Amino acid sequence: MNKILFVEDDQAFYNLCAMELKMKGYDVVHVAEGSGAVEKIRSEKPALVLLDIVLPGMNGLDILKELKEDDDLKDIKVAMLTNFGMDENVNKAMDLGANDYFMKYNIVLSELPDKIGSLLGSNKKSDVKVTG
Amino acid sequence: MELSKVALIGVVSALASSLILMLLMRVFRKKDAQIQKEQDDYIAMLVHDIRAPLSVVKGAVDIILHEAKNLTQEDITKLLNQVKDTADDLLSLVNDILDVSKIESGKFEIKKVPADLNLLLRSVADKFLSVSNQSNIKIKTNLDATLPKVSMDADKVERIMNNLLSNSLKFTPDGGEILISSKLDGNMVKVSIADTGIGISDAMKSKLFHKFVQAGKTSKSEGKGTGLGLTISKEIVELHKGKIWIEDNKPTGSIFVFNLPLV
Repeated sequence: MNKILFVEDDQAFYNLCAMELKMKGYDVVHVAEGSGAVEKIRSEKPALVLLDIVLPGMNGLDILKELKEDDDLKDIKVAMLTNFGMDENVNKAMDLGANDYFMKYNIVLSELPDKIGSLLGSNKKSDVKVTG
Repeated sequence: MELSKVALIGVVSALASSLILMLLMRVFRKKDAQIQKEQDDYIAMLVHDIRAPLSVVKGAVDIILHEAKNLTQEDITKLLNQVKDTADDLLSLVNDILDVSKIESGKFEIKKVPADLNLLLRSVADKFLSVSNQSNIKIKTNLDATLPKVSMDADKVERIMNNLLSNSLKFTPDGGEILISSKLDGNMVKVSIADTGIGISDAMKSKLFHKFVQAGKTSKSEGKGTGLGLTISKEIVELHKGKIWIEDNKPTGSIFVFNLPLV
């Protein structure tokens, strides 16, 4: 079973995503704060990390940078899942090595498992352009 | 029936967000250029905070619409309650932004009548009990039984208490304590809300009542509030000819205090 680790401080939104992913057979691990997320990723070894940007303790872009600079963690796939869609953030995340960038308010949650499935089956980065 | 309710809530939420953005434009127009950057950052954060509840509403509706065959009745009820609670959060946001808009244009008013302040404080404390119980936070009261009726706008004073108490709950760790007190102080009545939370730095204390400032972020505070509540509370207190301020709670935490004239 593929394990997804979701770094998300909005409990309500996490619950919805976890419900959808679990229904499609994913194992979902929750981390509610930015601080400590990297260590949790190290111990859980998920197939993919879903990563919010605005987080208490440490923001998602800093977490992404730390992951990609760590030889043991850099190959774990990361999809940003946030409501911060400014070009500056999207470009920075993709430059740092994120595999995709989803907007929470735009994504159709019932399609999230398929999107993750595609990412896990491919090394290709998304060509989706997100603005806002 | 349930799906039509969901659709209705979805439409109302979408309309609410449009109204919020329109009000934001009003609240933040005609500002000094030197604080433009601060305001731009604040608007970006507000837009983020508006999108957060909308994402939950959209997500819950989407799951109900597309996964109905995989959901139990209990799942659906839970999702519908989530949609309702989140729509309530959006409504509070609309009301706060509308009030700040009224404050900016000098149209925010109060209507004072003699009222039982202790009764109001007890009622607000009771209202928050279910939320505080979830976090194992005790809400206690220490109310001055000799307090006469206070000339006040009870609805507006309740807004202050709602703001202050919900802030205290957000920044108080599980297992903490909040004490609501009232005390006669000459020709004024003093109300305080003392928590055992993370406390507020001296530098932040002076800024916290400005509308562009939020105290900080904890995992419990995400998606709740815009930092406008204290601006509105200060305005309400001052319209009553009172004052509002923050003290340190020893060994840890903050005490929000406001006073109101009896007459």
